[in-house]
Amino acid sequence: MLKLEHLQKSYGGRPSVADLSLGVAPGEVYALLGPNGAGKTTTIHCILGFVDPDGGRIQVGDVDALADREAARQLLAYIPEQVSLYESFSGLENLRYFSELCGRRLADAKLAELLERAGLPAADHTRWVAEYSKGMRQKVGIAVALARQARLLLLDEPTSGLDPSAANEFGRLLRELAAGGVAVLMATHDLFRARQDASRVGILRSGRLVRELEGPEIREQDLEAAYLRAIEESASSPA
Amino acid sequence: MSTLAVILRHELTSQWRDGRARAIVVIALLLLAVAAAVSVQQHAQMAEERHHAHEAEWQRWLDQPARNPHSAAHYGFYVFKPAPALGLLDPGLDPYLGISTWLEAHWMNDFIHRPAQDQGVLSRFPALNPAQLVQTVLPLLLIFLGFASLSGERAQGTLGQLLSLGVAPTRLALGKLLGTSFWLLLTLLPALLIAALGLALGPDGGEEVPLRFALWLVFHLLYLGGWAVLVLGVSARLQTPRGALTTLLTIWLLVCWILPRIATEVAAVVQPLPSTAEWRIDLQASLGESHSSERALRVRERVLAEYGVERTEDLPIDWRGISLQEEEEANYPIFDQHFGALFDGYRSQERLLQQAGFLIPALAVQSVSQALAGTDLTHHRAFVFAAEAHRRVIQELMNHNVTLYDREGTDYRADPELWATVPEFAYRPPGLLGVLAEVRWAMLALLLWAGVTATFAYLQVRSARP
Amino acid sequence: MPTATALTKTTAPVNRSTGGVVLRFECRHLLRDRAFLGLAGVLLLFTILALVAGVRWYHFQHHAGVATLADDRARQQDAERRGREILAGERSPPRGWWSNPADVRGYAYYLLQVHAIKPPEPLTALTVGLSDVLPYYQRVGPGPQGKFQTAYEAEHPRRLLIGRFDASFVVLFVLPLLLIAAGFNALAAEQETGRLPSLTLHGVSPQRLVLLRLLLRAGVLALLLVGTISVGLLVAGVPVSPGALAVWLALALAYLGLWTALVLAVVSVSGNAASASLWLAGIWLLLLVIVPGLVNLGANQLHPLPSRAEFILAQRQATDEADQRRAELLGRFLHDHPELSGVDTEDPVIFRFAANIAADEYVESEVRPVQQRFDERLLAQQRLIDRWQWTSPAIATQLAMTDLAGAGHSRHRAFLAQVDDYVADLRAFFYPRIARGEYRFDAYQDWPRWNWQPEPDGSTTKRWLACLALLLGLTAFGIAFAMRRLRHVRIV
Repeated sequence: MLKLEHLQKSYGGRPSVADLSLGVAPGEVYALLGPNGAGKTTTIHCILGFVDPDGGRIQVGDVDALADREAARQLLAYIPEQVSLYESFSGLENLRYFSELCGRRLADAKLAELLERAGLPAADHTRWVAEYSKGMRQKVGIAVALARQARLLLLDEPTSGLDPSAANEFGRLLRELAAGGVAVLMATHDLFRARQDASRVGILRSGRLVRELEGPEIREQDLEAAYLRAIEESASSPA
Repeated sequence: MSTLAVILRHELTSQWRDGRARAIVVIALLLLAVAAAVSVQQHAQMAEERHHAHEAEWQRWLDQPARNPHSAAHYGFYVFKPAPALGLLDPGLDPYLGISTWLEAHWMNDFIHRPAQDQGVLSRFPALNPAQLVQTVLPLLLIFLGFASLSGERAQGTLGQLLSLGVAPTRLALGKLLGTSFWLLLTLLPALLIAALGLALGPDGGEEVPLRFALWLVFHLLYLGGWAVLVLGVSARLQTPRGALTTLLTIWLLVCWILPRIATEVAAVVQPLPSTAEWRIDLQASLGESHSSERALRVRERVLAEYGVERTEDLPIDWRGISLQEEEEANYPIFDQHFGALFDGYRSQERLLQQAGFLIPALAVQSVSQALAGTDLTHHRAFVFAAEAHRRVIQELMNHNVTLYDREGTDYRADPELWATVPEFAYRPPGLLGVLAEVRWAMLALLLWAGVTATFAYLQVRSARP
Repeated sequence: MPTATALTKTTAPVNRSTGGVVLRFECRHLLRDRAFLGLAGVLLLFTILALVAGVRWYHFQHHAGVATLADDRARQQDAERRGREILAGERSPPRGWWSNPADVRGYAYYLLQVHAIKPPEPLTALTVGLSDVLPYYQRVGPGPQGKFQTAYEAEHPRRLLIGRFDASFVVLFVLPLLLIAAGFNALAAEQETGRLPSLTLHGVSPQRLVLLRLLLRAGVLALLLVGTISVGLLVAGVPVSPGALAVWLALALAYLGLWTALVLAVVSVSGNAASASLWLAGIWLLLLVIVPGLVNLGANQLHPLPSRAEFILAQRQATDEADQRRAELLGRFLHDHPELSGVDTEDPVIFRFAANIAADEYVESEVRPVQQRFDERLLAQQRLIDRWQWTSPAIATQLAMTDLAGAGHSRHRAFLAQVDDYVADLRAFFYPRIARGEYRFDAYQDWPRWNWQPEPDGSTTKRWLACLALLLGLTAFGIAFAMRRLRHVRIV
């Protein structure tokens, strides 16, 4: 569903993403792990087309994302660390606006159902977003992704700042989505959630993918030890 | 529903929910409507006063008793500048120009009674008339409504959300522009309706009025449209709403309030005009001793010689009529030259101000507005010289009558029917094409303003990043 | 702010020297604040521009007056020379009396050129006021005054419409903007960078910080303004009286003080910099454009001026009536002027000229009430504006500065009254000669000369004192309000 080939991006001569290649298949939850400044967000911004990469290829479904940014965006949904919504609109209204923007006119009942599916209780649907907690906003973000039937979900630190139970619920939703055939790319430094939710983990350092762990590897290994080892090894080896 | 319609509806809802925006729109709407209503009422009264005075003076001329034609020429009459119909939109320069002049023998008189002279100190603050509000206050409304259009989405993070949905930034910006335009038009509508009603119910202003009104609207929309896209472009360019707001406010203050004053000062230095005192001294020097009895005596000798007689009693005509007419005709080019030079000076300054309009669109739109409303110097000049032409017709008719029927030593009084041989003064304002030609620089400046701001906005929006 | 935290109330004990440290730091900060230095530069540039424009206008008026007087004198001397030659028989008298300077009728009605001049006050270099709209000299003579042109300055009317770029404009319109730009984020900058908590812990209260920061900036702008204007006027050689200049500058500073208080108040109330600048721009528009415009609109609606067209018609009507009642009017005139008894009204020439005088006086007596109605309405308008001037400090300041610079209606009214008296003096000199038929004229040096009587000192004191009190009062109120609000400001 998503394929990155030799992606490169540097800021002022300092490489932020260097020769990054990875793929995410439908139904897969790919966790991109790495310390701050490893290039996780830049990678996601490149896929979204917010940042123009210096080189490489990005393919979303059958679309060359660098050639046709808009067509690629049609296929994906994006949930940043802080889901940004319109404060003076309710969750339902926000959802309606965003879904209509991608050409889906849904009845209010259907919108409410999506919000419920995302875990937002019906009582909160018509309150202004200004009163929402971070977790509630995340849920609206998920609902937006559900509404537009995105094939690829890009998440940037989705669980940072969520309390454990909210994070847990969020993980459950992700797995549900993936089970429905959505490809998920999640940038995070939350090792616990990566182990819980990811089917594949990539460890990024200074813009390079230094290690990939798959399926059982993640759960069998001590992920934290593997992570620290990967980071240290790459630091000592000549870049 | 198309994406654009979705964005527009969202934009209108969110602006309506923002109490600040609602208050600003309501205040601007009321202000404009009140200004338009007061303007319509005052304008109607002024038009009526001038029309009445004009009729009364003409009747007074016709009602003169039998008297010597030259006395009648001295008696003369006052003509009053009619209030142009569209002056209710933009009184323009009329408050600073005299309203009336006296058509009398020997002299091309000044226009007297400038309304501004009867105004208090507050007249030096910006006037609240429809044109002034549209030109200087509505841009602020556009800034208030639009400074956060893209920079605000960026600041609250929704810009990334929207772009990730595949919404093209140009489409988003277009939706925002339509939203702002809606409020703008809503603000304008009541005032425009009041003005249109005033025009429809007021005295007939001529067949050009609808076209002039339409053009007035078009150029103001062009001007405001330029502001709207500038606001959008700056909002797309700058990272924070605060940066966008301070930048836009600075531009607004410079363009609408500060630079125009500097431009007029500069124009006055670059194209200096003489002081009235010097101008009058000069005019008097040029007129010289044309009104002296020596000059008259020379004419008498010449006329006697032409008719081959020695005594004026033997002349078949009155030489004094010839002398008076010759004096008038000798002075015509002098008046033409001096008044013409004055108006040419104004015109060079006006051209400078219009060219300054390329940097200061508020000056350009003011030029075009006054021209279309008929309250600029082109119209005033036309009236001044039309009045003077009429004065010359009166002099010729009166002097001709003196020549034919007066005799020295008699107490000749012309029959009152003579007064009616003078045609009634009917002033026709200059045609639209000529008027527009005078403001071609300003029109060009406005087109360029709209074009440059639109291009700027397009480039900024297209490359907008979250 | 609703979230007045415990921090705000338990301000650390104030270290005595904190004030000095903060002041020193803020001064250093000011010198490194490029944006503020830019604003100060803008003020300097604009003040110089305004001074150049204002001083030019003062000299322009002055020279126009000088040129007019010189032309008057040349023409008077020329008339006197020719008159004396005629009287001495060295030159043959011209055919018509109207060209004859040795005939009192020709001299008084046609050859005598006199202008009454209202000399410009030096302070018009700072406040143009209405001096560019109201005539500052007027041709006068013993004859009917309607004949004489009022001297409008031949300026481009758009310059009159847009208004002058004078020092008053810089103070009233531009200075508040510079202050807003310098101060709108005085608090927000600290809040947004999160420095406020640590500053508070070090004993620097937000009130003191914001007050100090703003006063420092306002002080620099004030110094710049006062310095530039004083030095500029000195260099330009405008003979301004130090007392009047001091009052003008005091008004400007009080106005600046008021805006400092306004910025403080808005900063203390509004949550962030964007909304503070939005509010301040709105207040600027309100106080400088909307309120003056509305007060003006109201004054015009409540006390509409009679139409000047009616004024002309009244004059014409009276002229017609006078024409038909010449004998009667002359009889009345002679009755009112017993000193003219013995005038031979049987003589057709004497009758004609004496009756002209009587007719002129009649026309003027008829027009006077119309003029008075005008003046009363204008006064009523001005009283209304005076009553409402507190609605915008800009109105009060502009009124005070205009009066101080003698560039308003009050000095102009004094001028017109003096012109009326002067015309009466000229008539008292010439009319008896004309009415009696004593046409031979040689008293070239004896007719009364125009002599402008300046308004007594202190005639504007009341107004500027009231304005100063208003400005200072509002300033004190604004600062007190802001200080109260800032005590409860959000620290974190």
